[in-house]
Amino acid sequence: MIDIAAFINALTFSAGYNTAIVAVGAILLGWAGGTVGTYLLLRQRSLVSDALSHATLPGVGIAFLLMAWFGGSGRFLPGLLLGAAISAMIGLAGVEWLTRRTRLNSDAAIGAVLSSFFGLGVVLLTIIQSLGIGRQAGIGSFLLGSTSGMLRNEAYTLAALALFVAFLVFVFRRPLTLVCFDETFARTSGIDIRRTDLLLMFLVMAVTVTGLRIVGLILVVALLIIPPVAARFWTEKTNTMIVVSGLVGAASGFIGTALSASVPNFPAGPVIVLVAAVLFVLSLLLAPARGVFYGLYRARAFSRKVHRRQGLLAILRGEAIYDKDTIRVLKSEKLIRGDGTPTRAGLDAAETAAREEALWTIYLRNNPDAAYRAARMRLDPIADRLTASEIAELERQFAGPSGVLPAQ
Amino acid sequence: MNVHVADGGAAFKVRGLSVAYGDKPALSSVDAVFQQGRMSAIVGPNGAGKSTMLKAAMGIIPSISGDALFFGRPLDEVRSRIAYVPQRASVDWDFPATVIDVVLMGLYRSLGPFTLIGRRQREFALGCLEEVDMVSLADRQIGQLSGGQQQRVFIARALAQKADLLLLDEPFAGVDAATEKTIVTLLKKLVREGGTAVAVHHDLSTVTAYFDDVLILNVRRIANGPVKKAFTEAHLAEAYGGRLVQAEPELI
Repeated sequence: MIDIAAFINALTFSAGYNTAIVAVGAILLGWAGGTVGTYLLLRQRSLVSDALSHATLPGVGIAFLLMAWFGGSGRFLPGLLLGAAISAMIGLAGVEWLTRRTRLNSDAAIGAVLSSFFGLGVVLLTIIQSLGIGRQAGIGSFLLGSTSGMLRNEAYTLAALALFVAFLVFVFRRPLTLVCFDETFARTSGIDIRRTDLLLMFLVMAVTVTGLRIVGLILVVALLIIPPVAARFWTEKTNTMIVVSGLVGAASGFIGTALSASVPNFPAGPVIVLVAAVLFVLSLLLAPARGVFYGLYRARAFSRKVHRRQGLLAILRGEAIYDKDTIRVLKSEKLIRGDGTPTRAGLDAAETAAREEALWTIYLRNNPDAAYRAARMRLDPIADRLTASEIAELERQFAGPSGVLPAQ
Repeated sequence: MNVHVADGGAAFKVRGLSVAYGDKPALSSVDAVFQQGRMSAIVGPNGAGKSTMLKAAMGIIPSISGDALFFGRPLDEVRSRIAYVPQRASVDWDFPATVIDVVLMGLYRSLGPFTLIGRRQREFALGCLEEVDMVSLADRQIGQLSGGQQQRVFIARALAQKADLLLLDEPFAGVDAATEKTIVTLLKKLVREGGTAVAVHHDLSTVTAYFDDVLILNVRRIANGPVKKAFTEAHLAEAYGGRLVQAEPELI
């Protein structure tokens, strides 16, 4: 089904001029969406983009009707996008007004605006299709997007958008981050919250309106939400998250268009979104910072260390061990034999463990605030966690004024 | 004009400040003065408008009437001399940022959009963390900190702003004893060096030990002045009514 040769060709930009144009456009769009979407996610406004994208549809319809009315071709793209932007702004103002002036939650306001604008848009599109004016064929592609017949000019538009977004995000990265993290502090340091939010909404609108052409208004929101959510699993830093999110978006655009070019009847927009979703699931499972697997691995490694330490202390005290997990851990490291008696290595390890426990006890007496951190650290070899001079100091205190280690 | 003579020692002053949430009054024509080089507490029962007063003065929430002067001037003219420390609970600590990232936010005002944060800024931020004994946690994600450590990060960010006046909203709420001691010692040091600190405070038992001046508030101003004069049983009874018996039995 998938044409491997065509897929490779698409990935190496050698599948022909048109495919290459589409790929470049999708990469830039994905990158811009991921970048802007990061701030949208951190500002906890992700769903606003959904209202915004659905609110573009009536504008597309009205712009088409107006242009056809004045005798032109209704499909003049800049005109349609301008209409989309204007009606998105009206929708956005509606959401804002509803949440501020009434007691509606923002999700209710978003739902109300989204569905009514979308309903109006669908009615307008149906009317247009029944009128038979202004070469309306293809107007429906705004719903789900289309990459067929994408022109070089449109790729240029996307490139300009990406540069523009990059510039604005770079210049305003600090106010944007500050408003997302701590609105109160941002305001007291002289940042205009309203203007910063407007800037963010403007960036979202720029991405949405240009994305209409490729992925369509129903799915364009995915390019603003999925990449940052995926990126969040990889990092604990805002700046890194912005870069990773942009990369996830760009990779989705790239792989998505390549797949759609190599499989017959694979629609580019939805495939791009599906690729992003796959990247999201992979991040969720595999990312080291917050991924599910790594979290499980760390939890397991920690519980293993707890069992090892408990077992060694039991050996030292000559107590019998009953916990099956403890026995399993000790056996796997050959610290005890099959019958439960300690090996030579086990006895040595037990003595080391006892000494380190004693040093940690002194450490905690000196640093009562460190209890939480020490609970993790004390299970590792002490030399990995404290400096040589710190350990020497603990040993000095351990030995006591007489300089003799107390008997164990 | 001798207008400023009257404000000579006032770092922060509110005049006739009235604030309401909808039609529910939160502050009713409050006058208060906070002297330069002193550490002042704002105390009062829950819902007395303590945080509201700071927020309204800083323009975070709108006021119906009245104004606030800082060093005798309106806020916009002297903003860089003021650092505001919000309540710890007001932010999402799961935000992707490390301890030093948050401290560096205190420098954002002084950095142009094209300036990158380099070694110099980083060293400076580490110096601020040193003051609150948090250097060893500089690269920790902020969500992994204890409440007291989070509060110390906020204090370090305020230090990074190099302000003359610190406004702190409940800096001791839900922090451990060690953090409280660190913060008090630090604030006292800043005040000794000529700085001014004004803190919303809820623990009446420590007012005398920590602060020089006090504002007792319950929607209206009850008393404002040096702790010795203003922090009296009569004023507290006026502010807290019968509730003081439950709140601070040892004071009665």
